[in-house]
Amino acid sequence: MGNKNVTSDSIKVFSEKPHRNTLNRRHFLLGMVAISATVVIPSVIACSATPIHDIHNQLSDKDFNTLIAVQNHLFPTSKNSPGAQDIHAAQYYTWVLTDPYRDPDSIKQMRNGIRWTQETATETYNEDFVSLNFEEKENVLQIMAQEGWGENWLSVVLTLIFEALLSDPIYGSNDHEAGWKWLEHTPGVPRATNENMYHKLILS
Amino acid sequence: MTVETEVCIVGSGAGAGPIAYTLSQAGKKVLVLEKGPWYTEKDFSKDEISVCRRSMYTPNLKDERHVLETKHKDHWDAKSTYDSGRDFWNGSLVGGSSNLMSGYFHRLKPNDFNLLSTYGPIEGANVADWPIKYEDLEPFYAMTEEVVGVSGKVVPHSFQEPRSTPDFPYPKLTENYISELIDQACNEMGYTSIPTPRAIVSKPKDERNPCYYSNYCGSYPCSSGAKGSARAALLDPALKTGNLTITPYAKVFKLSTDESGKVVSAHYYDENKNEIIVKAKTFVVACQAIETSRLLFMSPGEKHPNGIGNNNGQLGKNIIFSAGGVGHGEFPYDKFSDEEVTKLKSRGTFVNRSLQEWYEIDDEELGGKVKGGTVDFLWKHANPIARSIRLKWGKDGLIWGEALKQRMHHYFTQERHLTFEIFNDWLPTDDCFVTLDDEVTDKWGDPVAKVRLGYHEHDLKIGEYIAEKTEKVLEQMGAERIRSSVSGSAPANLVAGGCRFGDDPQTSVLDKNCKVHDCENLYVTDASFMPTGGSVPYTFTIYANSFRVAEHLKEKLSR
Repeated sequence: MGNKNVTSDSIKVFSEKPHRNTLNRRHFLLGMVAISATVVIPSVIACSATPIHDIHNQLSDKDFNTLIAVQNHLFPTSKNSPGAQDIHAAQYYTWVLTDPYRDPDSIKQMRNGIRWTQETATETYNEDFVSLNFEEKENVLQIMAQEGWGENWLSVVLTLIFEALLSDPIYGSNDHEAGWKWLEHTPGVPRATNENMYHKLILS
Repeated sequence: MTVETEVCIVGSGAGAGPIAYTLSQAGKKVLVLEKGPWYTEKDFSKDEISVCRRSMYTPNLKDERHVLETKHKDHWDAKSTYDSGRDFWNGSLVGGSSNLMSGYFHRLKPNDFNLLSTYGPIEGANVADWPIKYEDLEPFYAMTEEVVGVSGKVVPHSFQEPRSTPDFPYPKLTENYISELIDQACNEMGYTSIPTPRAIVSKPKDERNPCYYSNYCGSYPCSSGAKGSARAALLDPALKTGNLTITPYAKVFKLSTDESGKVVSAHYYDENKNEIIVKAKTFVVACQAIETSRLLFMSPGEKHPNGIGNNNGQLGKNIIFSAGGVGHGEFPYDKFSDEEVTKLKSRGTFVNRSLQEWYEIDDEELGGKVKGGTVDFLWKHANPIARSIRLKWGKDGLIWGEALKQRMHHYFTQERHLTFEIFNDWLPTDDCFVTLDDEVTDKWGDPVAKVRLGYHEHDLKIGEYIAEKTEKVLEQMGAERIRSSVSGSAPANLVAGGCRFGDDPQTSVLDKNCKVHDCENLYVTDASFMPTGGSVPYTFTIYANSFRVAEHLKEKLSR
């Protein structure tokens, strides 16, 4: 735990300090875009209890496809290991967007990050992110990672990929326990059930 | 609505459990008010998402938060935990955070009760001797070992405390091969490694099943009842007497006192935000050190204009945490034989080794004889998501793609990671205390606790000394990439003080029986009573002291 901010690893529990998005001009302007987008995106009033595969309508098709492209770049499928798409990381991400207990600023950041990616791709290559080749995508993400807002968002995307990769498959990700098998991880028992999984608990 | 009982306990954790257990067995009608939900073993799982990533056993920061003050250069910066994201809660459920503890159960040593008279004053620290001695608490450590259930093996060493029983009532838990390597290295260096006592039963106890080596212990509630939580070990048996009632979702927000200063009622909000009044002859507050001070501040009365127990301005003062730090070493499998790798990979078995070699240090480097601390060794927690999150950071920022995947695969499959944690005294100072915040409120509209998190530089010196010594043990074991870190960061799950006990009402809140000095029927039995904390985790001592107070109350209420 490094005597830093850590949860759950040790006898001493130091609080984790998650990245908080900084409200700069860019964030503010893009936040306005997100607000207008909610006109066409169904309002979120409660965390969905349906399988996560059915909830990709939390994002527009363009945003959802951009998210998939970013995740696949950050965590690609390899010969002997699962990638983001194999574990339904994009669907997991959209499910997290519906969590009523998640900090609203964090939800806004999760939505805005996708648009920051689109904007950076357009500014740099005058193309949609999804249309870029590998090197161009890498360059866009590296440009973003140089900025605090970009690094924070990419960090969140990676964390949620890890959650999708290594959480119980009952959440609809970690398909066929692919993440656990790849990392030779043995889950603890008893496993989560339909009765005590996270969104069941928060909806009860 | 008004409810009547003989004894009303606020909180249901380690400070509350022994009172409820003892008094209900003695035939007293006891009501426990717990803010959180009431789960049983059937409800628990090892689901990292719900338990750790989303913290289902602590309040949501949208609803309840703290304000924390940390020092930046010359000023104190106050920030709500909702704004900072720094969660400062422990367990909020029946049984409290004892459900989630790791259960490292070291006793305090005799000198911990006399820190001031043994080692002398330290400038800038409010060190005080306890009003009781080790001998007063020893029978209750022994009682806790038996009733709560502690496993281990007594091994003589330089700072072994006196015991009234030869050994722990439960044999030590199954250990991993790494424990042999620690023993071997310590033996070569002239140190005595000791099996770590754990509040986990290794064989059945009453209706509790023994440890099943789930590999997910700390931070998770136990599904077998092996872990000695207040719920499994004390409240469940107490319920069988028919004298104990537990009310979950009961958020106590005020204690009312009469013209004599005596507490007449506790007021709580139920799940539907209705106000319920509880009348009782005796009240016990044990809802975690910070929240206990907060509740007493929120309960002013005619005789207690600044909050109960605060007529001398001592309430909320001298909050302490556990000082020290942590270190790590890596053990790559390619340095071991196939047979050894198989043994190292054995899942669920415990490290369970401690060093108390430096519980007291006599070294000119530190200016002579000073109080030291304890080292506990443990594996890195099995939580795969938490372990992965650290791996996304490289020297120059985030890493991703194949580089990240290769790093993860190597980390998870090619090596094991041993951690050590140092526990030394967090000296009480004027810069570590609890008050009520003037602006921030909880979901019920009540002021939240504001905690100033100051530490003493002496704490770091001791922690660094012990870290340096322990790193050498890892070196002797052949570990790679050894590193450690000591800081003044306050661990939220190891907090005590705020209502220190003592003989002088001018300098303490509680008397030696943990009764509020100027309130004849109010007791505080969580970690709040501790003037100094010793150099071990607190839960064992909270249990033992609560059993001690319970015996006093049993006798008093029988008169």
